[in-house]
Amino acid sequence: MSERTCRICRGEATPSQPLLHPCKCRGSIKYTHQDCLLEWLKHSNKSTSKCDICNTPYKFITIYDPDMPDRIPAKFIWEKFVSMVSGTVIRVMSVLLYTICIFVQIPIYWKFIGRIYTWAIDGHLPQANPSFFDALLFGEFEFTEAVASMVDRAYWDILYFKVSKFFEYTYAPGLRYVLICIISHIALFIEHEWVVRDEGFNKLLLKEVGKEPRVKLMEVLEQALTAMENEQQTGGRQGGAGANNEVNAEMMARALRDLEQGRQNGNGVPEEGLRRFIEEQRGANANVNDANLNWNRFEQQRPEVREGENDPLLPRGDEVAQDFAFNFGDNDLDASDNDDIADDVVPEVQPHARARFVPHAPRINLFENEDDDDDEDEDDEDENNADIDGIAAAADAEADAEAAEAAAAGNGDILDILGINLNNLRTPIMLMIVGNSIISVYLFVAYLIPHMIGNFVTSALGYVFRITGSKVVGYIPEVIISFISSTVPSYIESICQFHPFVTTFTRFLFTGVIQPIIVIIDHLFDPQFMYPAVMERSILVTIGYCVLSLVIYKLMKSIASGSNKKPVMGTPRKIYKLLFEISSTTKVFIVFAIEIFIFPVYCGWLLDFCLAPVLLDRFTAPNGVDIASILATSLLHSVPFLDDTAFGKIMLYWVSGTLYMLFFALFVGMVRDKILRPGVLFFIRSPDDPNARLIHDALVKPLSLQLSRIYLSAKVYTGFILVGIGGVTWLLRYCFQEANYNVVLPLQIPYDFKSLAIYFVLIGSLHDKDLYIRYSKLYWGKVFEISTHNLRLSHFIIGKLVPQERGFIAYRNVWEQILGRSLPDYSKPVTYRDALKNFQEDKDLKACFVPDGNYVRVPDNDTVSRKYIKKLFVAVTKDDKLLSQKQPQSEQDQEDNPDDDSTDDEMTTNNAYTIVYRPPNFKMRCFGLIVMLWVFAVLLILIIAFTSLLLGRPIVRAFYIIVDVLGSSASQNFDFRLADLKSLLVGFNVQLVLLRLWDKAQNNNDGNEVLRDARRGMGAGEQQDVGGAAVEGGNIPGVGRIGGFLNFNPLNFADAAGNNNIAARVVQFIAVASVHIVTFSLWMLWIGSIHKICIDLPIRAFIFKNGEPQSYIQSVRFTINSFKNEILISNLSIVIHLFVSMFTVLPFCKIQFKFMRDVIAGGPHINEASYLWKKNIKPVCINILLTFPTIVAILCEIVWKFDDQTQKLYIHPYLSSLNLLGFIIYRFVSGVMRLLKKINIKVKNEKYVKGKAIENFGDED
Amino acid sequence: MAVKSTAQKRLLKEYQQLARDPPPGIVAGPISEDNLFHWECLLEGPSDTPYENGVFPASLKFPSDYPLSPPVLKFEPPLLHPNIYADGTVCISILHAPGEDPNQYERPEERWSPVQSIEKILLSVMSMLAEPNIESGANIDACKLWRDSRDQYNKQIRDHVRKSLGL
Repeated sequence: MSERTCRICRGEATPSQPLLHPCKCRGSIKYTHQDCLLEWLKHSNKSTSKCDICNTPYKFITIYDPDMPDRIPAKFIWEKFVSMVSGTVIRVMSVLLYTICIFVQIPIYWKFIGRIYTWAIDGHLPQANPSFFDALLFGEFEFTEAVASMVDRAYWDILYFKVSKFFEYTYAPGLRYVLICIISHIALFIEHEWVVRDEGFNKLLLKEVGKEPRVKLMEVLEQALTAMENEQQTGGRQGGAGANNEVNAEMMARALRDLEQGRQNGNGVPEEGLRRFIEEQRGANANVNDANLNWNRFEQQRPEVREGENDPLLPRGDEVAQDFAFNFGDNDLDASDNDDIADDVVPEVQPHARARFVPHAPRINLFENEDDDDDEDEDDEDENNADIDGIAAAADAEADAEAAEAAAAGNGDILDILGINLNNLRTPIMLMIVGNSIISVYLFVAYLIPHMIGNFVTSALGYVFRITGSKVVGYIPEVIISFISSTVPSYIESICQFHPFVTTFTRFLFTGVIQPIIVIIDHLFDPQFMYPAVMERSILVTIGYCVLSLVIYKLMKSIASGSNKKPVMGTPRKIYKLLFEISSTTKVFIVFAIEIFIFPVYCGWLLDFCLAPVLLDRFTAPNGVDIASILATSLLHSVPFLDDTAFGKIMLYWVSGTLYMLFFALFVGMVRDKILRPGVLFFIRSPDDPNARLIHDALVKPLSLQLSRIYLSAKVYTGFILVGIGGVTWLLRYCFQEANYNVVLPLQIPYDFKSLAIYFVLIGSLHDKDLYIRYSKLYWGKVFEISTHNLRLSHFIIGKLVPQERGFIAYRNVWEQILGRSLPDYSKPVTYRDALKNFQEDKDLKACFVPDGNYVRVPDNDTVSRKYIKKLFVAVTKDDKLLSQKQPQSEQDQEDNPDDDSTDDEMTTNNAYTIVYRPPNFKMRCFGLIVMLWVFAVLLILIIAFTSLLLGRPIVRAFYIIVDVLGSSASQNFDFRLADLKSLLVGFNVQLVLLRLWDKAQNNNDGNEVLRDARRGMGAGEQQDVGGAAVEGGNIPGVGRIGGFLNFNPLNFADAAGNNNIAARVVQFIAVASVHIVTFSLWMLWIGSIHKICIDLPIRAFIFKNGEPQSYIQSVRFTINSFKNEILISNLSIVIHLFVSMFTVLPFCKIQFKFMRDVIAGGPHINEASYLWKKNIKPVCINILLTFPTIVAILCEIVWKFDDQTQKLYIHPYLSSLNLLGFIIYRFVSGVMRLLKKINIKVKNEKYVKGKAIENFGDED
Repeated sequence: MAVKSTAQKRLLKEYQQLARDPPPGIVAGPISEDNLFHWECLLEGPSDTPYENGVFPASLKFPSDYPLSPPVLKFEPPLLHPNIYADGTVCISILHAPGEDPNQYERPEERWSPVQSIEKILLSVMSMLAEPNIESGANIDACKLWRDSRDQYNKQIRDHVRKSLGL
């Protein structure tokens, strides 16, 4: 093709329209006209203008007006500047306002209003803070006292103290409450939607209140009909709409007739008519919006519609219509096209479907409706009304939105010039007010009322108690308390002196559990009691909620039973439906909350107990509470930034418990999928089981049953965690204890920043997941093989038939049994009695094989139904013949009570059984299997841990020696007798590297069949193994990216990892990490020295001119601890520091942020090294050069160590501050210049642009 | 016709191109010289497929803003195929209007662009006949048939071909 043509219009180049080649495309689609391309870009309406084929972004040149002056008039620049500044200010202000209104004000308001309600309930202010404002600001904190003790302190200190206490006691809890409230309400809402949509919900509802009769429906229809007829008579409407009404009226009349007929005949006809009516009603409604509809045609086809109802082909027609609908939507045809094609469709599509197809707006609704259950037509009617309302509302909303937009545009134009935008200010305040009123009402309903009810109930109960047993009841608690507290502890101590643990435990039980409970009960029923604590309050609120739910329950009962099996209708029905929604939502919510929240927290708590010996050096809380508090210990006091609050603890427990459960489930899933015979774990639902309908089950099954199931699994988990993990950890702790000193545990976790970085690096390199999965699978496969073989369960558990397992070996005597050398003749099985006889007859015979046990039927897969399982587990012969005649009887049982689980209708079950061998003492053997698995797991973990320690310790030791040589004292706090996390991780990594190398060697030798099989089984995930870490780094951006943030970027290893060269990786990693560290420390050095030498020293020199300026000069080191005393010596210095930090800290933050953003979001094509140099090292070097005298001053200070104080104070402090001033001025001026340039370009673009042209690709080369 | 629109000019060019250098198994052209926006084409069934030996007529309707918007291709009579709607309209990505796909199903470069041409559309349809894309099916029945009982699918198509040839 020699001629050059435009790829869009296929035209040639003309003098006015030359052909351009704007992208990398070559050949026949290389060229295009500029106008054609621009039109296409406009039409395709994409966010970025790129070539559709080669994805090259088009380059545009802005063409400026030839009349444009060389210098933009100052007036324009000024205007632009003003508008930019005001725009920025407004944006910042509105962001600030939103933040303040939503994130600051709302939590505080929550807390305030909650406090006010509390006092309203109590009738007085809290004991700690008698003054109203202090009480409002600080709640229960004894503020007055604290401030009184601080009178002699500085003003700043007191203010700081006040603010921090306000934050601690008011803002932080408020924020937490708001967050919890929002999260739980979102969860509630979603779950409510699920519950209401569940099919079980409607069934249950109908079971309780019966189906709604149609009488009422008819009334409604009649009313609608008369109304419509009236309207028609007045005839105020125009043609189209009038026709609609006619149609509507006719439809309604027909529906009514059908309904009446249906009542007389008592069959299902009315439903059909009703449904049709509803659909057509919708169509009519849609017609109001859609003028394109042709109702005459619709009416003509109506008779066919009725036939269509019974046509089996109907669904197909629907489908076609639906497809068309989507197709048209895709092609974006306009309405006329739509109609044209619709005409063509008619012959093929069923008329009924066509009727549905025509309406335009509510099409989706219509098809949704199609899926609805036919039983729910009364609901349908509601929905219909709702839909009509909804459409109207939508239309209204749209109009509103348009109006608002117009208004906003109008406003914006005027106000933008003035630099004020009221909308920005009004919205957050409106939001704030709305939020506050919602909070007031919400707390009133959800806190005040239940609290009041709880108060009322308890005081009434207390009153009753006092009336009935006046003295006795009131006296009992006191007697108990005094008795227990005086006698019991000493008694127990005297008994249990032999072991301190028992003593402390019992004491803890008494002081920590029993006494508080008694006190709370005592308080609750005491009318004189004034100041309830949080615990007592929550009990009161809970009592209030219980009373409320009891009332709801009673109300529902009375509604449901009031009319005695007759359907409930009218208002009671509506009320019942509402209450039923509330109660079923609550039920499901309780079940889910227990499963998702409380259960993991409980697991986490147990885990905490188990981890205590690993992590804590002594079992005392920081505040000196005794050993017994280990039950509530946590890692928190060894982790910074998390304070020791209940909230933090619970979150930590939840996270750890959830992780534990997740890993446990993953383990079970792996075992089920890869190792076990299918059907062994039929009692645990697998996550991909189609029958697992969580919401449905939670809704339909009784609460007590579900709670008992959860209780069962809680027991199982408790056993697993306490024995499986806690047993090991506590045992280890005490095994390695010699004379008050622990040799191995606790684990040392240094948490300085350097170590943190190392942790991230170590964890970041743990991403060779497939390898570990493969090997753990190998290990567990072997473990299962060994354990099941020893327990003779191979056939049952892993489905491997081993004939030797079918019986036991009878030995001649105990000696032979212990030796276990002699093998029986497996081909001659005998009974035990025969064996004994044989032993007597044949003196050489040492062992006989005695078969026992039997075959049973077991499920063949994990999706068998519950009913079917009841028929299984019967003993059969090898040929599947029943050994006993129990089977018919059990079937009889089934028939007797067929629906004990009738709601448990399962959708897909695969009922099949298989026959496996079951040895005697089956349950014991299963238990033994679990124990063996546990032993193997513990062995694995301990071996790995100890090997890691042994391998890692030398490396860590070497690291510390190097660090010590360099002058740090990092190893000072390090006890090399204890295990530490660093060694553990390093050693673990070493082991993994070894494993990887070994794995590679194995593969190269091509010897290991098992491995290769396992590999083949792994499937697609395995492919990247060859590609190495380069692909993986791309696949799991999270890990790699986090690593990149902390001076570690796996992407840099792309080349090295290609051939898995570990040495190259290590070298490169060290290089990159050290460059990062050097850059970071350069920045730190610069900022620190500027603030210290250029600001602090001069200020001090100024202040202490006549004082004693000794110590502060020496303290060039920038320490956080002495921050307040060293840096913030006066208010002036704070201001100056803040000002200067705009030129030091702010650019640093900006550069780091940009760097992180670009590297993290940039993907693999960013060359990190060059980027690092350009964006991070160069600026800091320039900064250091610009403040060169300061650096010289530091160097002089360090090298010569001036003795003459005056020389220091009066020469280089001022010099350096002058230098700083110069630097700031330079930065300021250059910033202003940049801004001017930017404004210039903006003004040019706004005022003088003539058009834009597309640049040819590759022209600039 | 005094001033020809871009669409008309382009359609004429494409017609000339097709007439001069027709791809194998494809015949296409406007029904009448007056209306360039309505084409008719004949597609030969690709060999080694059940569509072999068949000749399938289809109509192409171009929008007035062609080539900015894609044409609509429709087999008349309809053809049983997973990617052809029951009424005969062809559903392939190259015929879908440009823009972001809400389902993230098709990449933007797979969709309509003025760089495409009628020839490319028809070639795509030929290859679609040979290899149905079951993931984005248009005709659910055909999809099921194709996936579950291929023999019956092949038989139905062969019957259709035979019938259309009048055998």
